[in-house]
Amino acid sequence: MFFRILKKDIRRKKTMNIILLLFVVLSAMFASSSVNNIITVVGGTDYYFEQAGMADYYFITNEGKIGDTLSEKLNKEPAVTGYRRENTLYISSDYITRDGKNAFKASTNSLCLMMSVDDAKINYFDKNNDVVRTVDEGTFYLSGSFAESSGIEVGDKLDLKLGDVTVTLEYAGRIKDALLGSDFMGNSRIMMNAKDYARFADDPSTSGYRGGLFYVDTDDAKAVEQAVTDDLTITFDGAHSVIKMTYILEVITAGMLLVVSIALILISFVILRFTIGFTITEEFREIGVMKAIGIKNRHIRALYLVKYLGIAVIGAVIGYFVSIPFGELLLRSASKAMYLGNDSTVLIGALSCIAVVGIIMLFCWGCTRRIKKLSPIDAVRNGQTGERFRKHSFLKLSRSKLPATGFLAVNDVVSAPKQYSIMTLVFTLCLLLVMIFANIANTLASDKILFLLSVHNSDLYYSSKDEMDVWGGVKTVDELCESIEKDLSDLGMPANVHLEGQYKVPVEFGDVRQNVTALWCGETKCSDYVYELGTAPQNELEFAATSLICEKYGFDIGDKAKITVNGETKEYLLTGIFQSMNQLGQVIRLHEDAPLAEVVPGTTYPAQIDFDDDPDAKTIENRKEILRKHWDSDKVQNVTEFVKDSTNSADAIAAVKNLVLIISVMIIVMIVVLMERSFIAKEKAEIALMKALGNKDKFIIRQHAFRFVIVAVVSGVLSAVLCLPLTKLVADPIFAMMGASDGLGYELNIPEIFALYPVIILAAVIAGAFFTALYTRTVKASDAANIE
Amino acid sequence: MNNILEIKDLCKTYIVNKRQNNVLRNISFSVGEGEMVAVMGPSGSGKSTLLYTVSGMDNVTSGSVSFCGSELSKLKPDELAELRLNEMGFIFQQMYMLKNLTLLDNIILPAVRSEKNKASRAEKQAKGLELMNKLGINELADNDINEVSGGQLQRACICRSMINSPKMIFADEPTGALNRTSSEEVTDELCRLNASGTTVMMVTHDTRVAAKCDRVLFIVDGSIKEEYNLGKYSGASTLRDRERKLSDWLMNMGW
Repeated sequence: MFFRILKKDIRRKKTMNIILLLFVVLSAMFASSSVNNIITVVGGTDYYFEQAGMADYYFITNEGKIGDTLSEKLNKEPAVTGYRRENTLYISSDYITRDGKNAFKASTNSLCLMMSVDDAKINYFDKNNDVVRTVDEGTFYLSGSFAESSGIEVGDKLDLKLGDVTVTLEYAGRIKDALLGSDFMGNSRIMMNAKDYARFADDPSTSGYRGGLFYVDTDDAKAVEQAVTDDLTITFDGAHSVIKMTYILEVITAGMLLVVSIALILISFVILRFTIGFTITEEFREIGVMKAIGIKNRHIRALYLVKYLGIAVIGAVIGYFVSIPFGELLLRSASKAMYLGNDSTVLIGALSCIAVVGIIMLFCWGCTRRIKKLSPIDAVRNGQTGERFRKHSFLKLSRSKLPATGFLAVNDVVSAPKQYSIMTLVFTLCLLLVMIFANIANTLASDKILFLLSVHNSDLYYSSKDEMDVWGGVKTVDELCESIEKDLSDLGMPANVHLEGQYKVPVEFGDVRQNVTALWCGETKCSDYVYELGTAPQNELEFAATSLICEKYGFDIGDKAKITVNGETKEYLLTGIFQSMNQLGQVIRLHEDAPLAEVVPGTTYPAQIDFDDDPDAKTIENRKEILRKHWDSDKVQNVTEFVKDSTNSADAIAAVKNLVLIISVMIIVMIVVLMERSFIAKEKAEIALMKALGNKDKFIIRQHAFRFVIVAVVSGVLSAVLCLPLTKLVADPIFAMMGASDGLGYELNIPEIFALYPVIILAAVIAGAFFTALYTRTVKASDAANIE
Repeated sequence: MNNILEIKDLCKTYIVNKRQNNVLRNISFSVGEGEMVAVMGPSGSGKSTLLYTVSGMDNVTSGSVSFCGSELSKLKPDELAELRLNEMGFIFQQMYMLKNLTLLDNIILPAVRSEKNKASRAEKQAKGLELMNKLGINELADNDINEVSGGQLQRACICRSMINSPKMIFADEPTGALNRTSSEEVTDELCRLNASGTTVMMVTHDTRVAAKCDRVLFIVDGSIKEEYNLGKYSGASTLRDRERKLSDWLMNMGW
């Protein structure tokens, strides 16, 4: 008998049970994939670095004609327990061509490091996470996403030109490179066969492009850093933690998806809780009858618990299997750059699914407690016992100016605030998730982030091939700027061109003496930049620093630090604190009069072009196209393109946003269908009565759909109000990790945030509600005769 | 007297689990304007089905139902709904109302929905209150439906059925769930409505209620076995006699 009742229940409420099952599947899927991914991502970089055999401290040197000076210093330093060195040759991506044209798309990441696979001192992995030990002659691997974003496919032949040597190599695929693999590093590694590398390295014309990558083992990174402060060949140095930070975007992207997953788990659980509670409450008659004929509470409870246990187990099993590809999909972008993994995926997945079943059963146990409260009188009096009496009507039709449809819908919503507020909460949460991602993506692609890149707004940005000559000391910054200005003048678009340089300068304060990246440009004024605290440096013996540098050295505004500029050490006064994402926030800014004009910068920003005639945006775009043709380079960018390229994450975040939008729409449609079907089941008598009284189908469908529209509109308004504060709450810590420790102003794309997404959600709600409400047509006016 | 409702060869068949169940078989009768007709018969004889098919709430399998000259089977669902809203009133055994509305709002809802009723919402509210006043429930206007008794609720249902001044009221066992006093009050109200010109057709098991009707149709196994003409009800003094005659007739019918 017990199973017969159960069977009938499952058949009778097929749709509700299927939707419930779907939510269990979703919950199990999100739980299993998310928990696995949390473990993978949280320990992700450590696991990756361990597999790669990374060290404690890293240097990248540009030795040029000076030669290797660092090895000797490291050999002498007692804090160094050992180090490994890889030889490299620098090549500008401008000199990597395919069919005579630049192979890489516009990118500020324009420098590649070539090396031989035989010289590898850490493990590099292919897409299957196998260690790359050999590279076939005539082929090469590339780290980072540049090949992918430039549409270079395996098998494509590229010409690499360095000095007087040009070699044609075939692209063999992407390697996972723990040191340079993150796009945040800005450089890409080209790994090739030893013979191919020798063709470059053995040619005297390439000697100016030599460098080294050092993997230093030490227990005292600070001592190592101080010991090599004066080495002029170092272009980059960083501790283990700094390299880990370069994967922050991958981890953040994966982490954001985890936040989404957790939100989705919560949504699924809220809906499950509601549905279970709702179905039990609506079955007062059956429960009352069972009680009236003497079935005990625990047996009635067991009936529901068995049903939900069945649904939970089936859902969890399906959810577990779906979670495997879903989890991989979530981490796809991160796993392309990193060797990710954890050793207990199956166990964790299974445990997560068991936890979901447990939580569902806990809900059921809680919900079925209501069974105790229901009595046989509920069955006899249509549930209208004293306990169920409550005020239902809140608005008065007679006093309302709303049309009947609107009035009934609004009245229904305000009369059952609990069930509609749950929906409002879920819709708001979904909408907010999308909005927050959109705000972050838009900010990462807007000029609002420009100050964090430590440059100011210019009409165009141009990464010239000749920048390599500046870094190599062949040309000065001024010479490069003048040649670009001449080009522009010849083309009838005179402009001022300047180049922001990055210089390694030793900074000493108290016990700390380290190399720090100094930003400097002789053509701009320090006062052109944004400062969080204090003022811009006023003369050559003043400087500004980021709060991270201040923290590192322990100095504050008004303190004096010893800085060695162009071989001369002087005391510099700290006048201002600014924010920067450059070098993960570890930079200082020197006054324009500082004697750096003749110093070779470690690296530079693209040349910044400011036209003399102050043209409008359209003219700038036209000029951009003309210049792209003239210089045969798509590395002429407007401010948005430059920012997008520099942060290199707006697209990834936008992709996450789109995924979240799709999942949100799916969740919302499912909720609407579930709720509307519940309402129709619950209100069958009212629908029949309305029809019997002469109300047309379309009126009832409109009334039902309109309730959801109200909820969606309220959610839209709530989301609009909460959008900015929550974006700050979520994104400020992320930008802080990237260097913007004091937050920033977010780019709100008003039409997108306040119109597009709410409209998409509203459309999903209307479609879901309308098509489900069509089911009210199956209720006939004559059903009013069978009202229970 | 013109006929407001004409039924010819009405059949209604349900097919359940591939088994044909002929609920109504070749029923023909008519109801004149201003008439008050009761439909009686044993349980399961098809009384309620007859009421719902002739009022356009349910489809007929064959035959014709003409209301005020309109053939119901030829009307579209929306036209039928329009007809029910403006020209018909309904009273059910279960006094069902929308639980999120007050009594008054439930009563005036059909008026607010009616496009034919051009009165303002205030006028509709006034009419609702007037009807409630007539039925002695005006003090309950702002009450929820779960705050009133069954008799009061059924009177509110009568008010709702009257709000658009329908030509005919269909009542399905309107006193079935009421005690004797409430039942009398409701029946008297229907008689008053009928006296004012509204045609009434009701299904009932109660001979005391049926005795107040002009005519009684006795239905058995989906067919009208016979009908009994009681003539116009002229007051309480004649009720006992009408009830006795009707009971005798019903006894003969096998009731």
